[in-house]
Amino acid sequence: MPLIAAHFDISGSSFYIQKSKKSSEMLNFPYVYSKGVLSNQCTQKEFYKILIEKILSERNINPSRCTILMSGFMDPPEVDLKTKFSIGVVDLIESSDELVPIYINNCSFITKGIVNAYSSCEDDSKGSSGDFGDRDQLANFCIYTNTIPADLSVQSSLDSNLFQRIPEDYKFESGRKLIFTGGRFSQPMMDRELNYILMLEALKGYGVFEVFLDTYNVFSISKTMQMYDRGLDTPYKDYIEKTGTFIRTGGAVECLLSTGVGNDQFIEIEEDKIFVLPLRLQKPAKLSLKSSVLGTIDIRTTGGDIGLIFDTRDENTSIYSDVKMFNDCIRQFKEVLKEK
Amino acid sequence: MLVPVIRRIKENSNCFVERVFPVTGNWNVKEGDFVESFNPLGECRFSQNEIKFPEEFRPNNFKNDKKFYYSESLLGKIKKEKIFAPYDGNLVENEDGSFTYQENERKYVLLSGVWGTVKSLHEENSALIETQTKDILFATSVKKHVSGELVVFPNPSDILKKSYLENFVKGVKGKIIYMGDFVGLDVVKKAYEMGTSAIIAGSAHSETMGFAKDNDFAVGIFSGFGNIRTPEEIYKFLSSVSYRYVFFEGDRNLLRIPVKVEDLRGVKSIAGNDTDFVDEILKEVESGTKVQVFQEPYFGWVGVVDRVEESCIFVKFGLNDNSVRIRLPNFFIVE
Repeated sequence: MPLIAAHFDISGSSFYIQKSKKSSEMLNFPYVYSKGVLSNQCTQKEFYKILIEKILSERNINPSRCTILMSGFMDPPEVDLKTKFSIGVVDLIESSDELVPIYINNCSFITKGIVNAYSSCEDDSKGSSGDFGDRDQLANFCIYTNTIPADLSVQSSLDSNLFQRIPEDYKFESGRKLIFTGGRFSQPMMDRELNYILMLEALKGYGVFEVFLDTYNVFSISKTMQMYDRGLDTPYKDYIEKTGTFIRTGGAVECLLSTGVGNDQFIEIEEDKIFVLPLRLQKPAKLSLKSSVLGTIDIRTTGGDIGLIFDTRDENTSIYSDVKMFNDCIRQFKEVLKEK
Repeated sequence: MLVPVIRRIKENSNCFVERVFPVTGNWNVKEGDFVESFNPLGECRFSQNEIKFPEEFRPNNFKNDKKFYYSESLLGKIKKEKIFAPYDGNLVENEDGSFTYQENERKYVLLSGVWGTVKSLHEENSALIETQTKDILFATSVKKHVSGELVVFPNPSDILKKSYLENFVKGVKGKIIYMGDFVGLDVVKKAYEMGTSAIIAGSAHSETMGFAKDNDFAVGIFSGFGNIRTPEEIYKFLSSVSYRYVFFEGDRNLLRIPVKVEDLRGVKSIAGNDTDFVDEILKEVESGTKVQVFQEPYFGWVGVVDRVEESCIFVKFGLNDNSVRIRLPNFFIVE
């Protein structure tokens, strides 16, 4: 039986369509139901019914003979269709064992044990500083929730607002695998470097973290499928980016990288720096680290799409408030992404 | 590339409008009657204006709990300022020692406001009328329900708007006023003070909407925040229905404009065959499609798609031959 698993966020929706065991597809639909756009034509229930039916009919799948699974932020929307299983994003996150999900969209930061959802957009734009232009622009993102900023400065300003709302006392445990997911990362961003800056800012606590990036809401979709039926093949491995290893030292660090090919590489990074070392290996390399906060530790890593990301800032320094560091990060991530 | 379709003006061939007396009244119609917009449904009597005075108010020659004053007679003083009665009415002392001046009860005629059939009458309070409307979509609006006569300003300059409000429109109280492409905070504040039912416009600054929400004053904007033009078809339609009784439904982001059944595109035949058009909500974008763009610096502009690429479209705005790259999802199809 064909299957569609959908995840609905506040700015877009993602779908995994499995027509048969051999034929499957992942799809981001970057629009959602918005009152300011569609309320004179249909209700939210009707809109999502039409959307799902349209996606299925384009693939010659009969909706009445298809298993429909849904998840959503905070809860899945009501749909005028018979669904087999629906679940809210908080329940998905709490049930995650191996990975620590970090779900971020334009009005929330959710991870295990923390649900930090903000007040309405209108209040946000009212309270924000800046001239009429800035405030109006922010307010327009609340009406047309699907839209994305056309320039880097506006997006970084939105991200900075997000970062300021992350609880300061929350820390991730060193050694954990973290996956960044949610509407903020599934939007078709113009400047992908900003994703990694936001990830660096959201990663609280010192230590070494293996980090993954989910730009299709695959975490939510796969988890929903597993909770419905553990035997289902999920799209998990095919659509998740293994970003790399994030090393947060809280001060200067010395490290020795042994890949087993050629000479070992010695790297010394002074405090208050972000340093990106492109590294993507088949066999794990040995990385020896020495810092005052972490002490001396040895880890094994294969890197990832970005590689090794060293962060020697202390906890009070924000990339968004340091123009030099911000520009340096943009440049470094841009270079790595260009090579990909 | 599948994209939602915005239809700023949507026909609604079958809806119900409730008309309510401010106090209990007497009906002139019965269930099943066909009514037109200007037909009276019934009438009632009540005091239609009142003024609450501040603590500093000292009444003139006031001895009991209540006293009648003729229009233009001296009511009292606030510090050194003399206050005269604006209409015939009674000054009443409230329990907290403050004073309220209430206009004498006057006859109030409840008009139908719509073309339709009286479906039901609920005691002496309200009537439900089955009718048809054209609904204009607000991008955002204050969640408030008001109705009143629509006044359409001829897109005056920003400087003239306040002056129009104060001098050229007789009795703005209870009216729904279209102010133009943009409405400023000062104009909205003035309209609020003058008792206007609602202000509608193409755009406003977010702080103007903040003021409206804080004061529970009905304000609706068609395009978004900033200084953005009202879509041409909305302005033309509003101009064509100026002075009509309209309904501001902020909860649903709608300005509901009653129309005659023959003004609808899809007409229900007498035999009951529904010939309403069924519009698609999602469509493929292609060359020649009309789109509204939500990307700076073209925010709110309407143009025509020149060509479509995987993650963007190129749009011509009619200014010159150059097309502009607009990223998915910063646009909607418009019809």
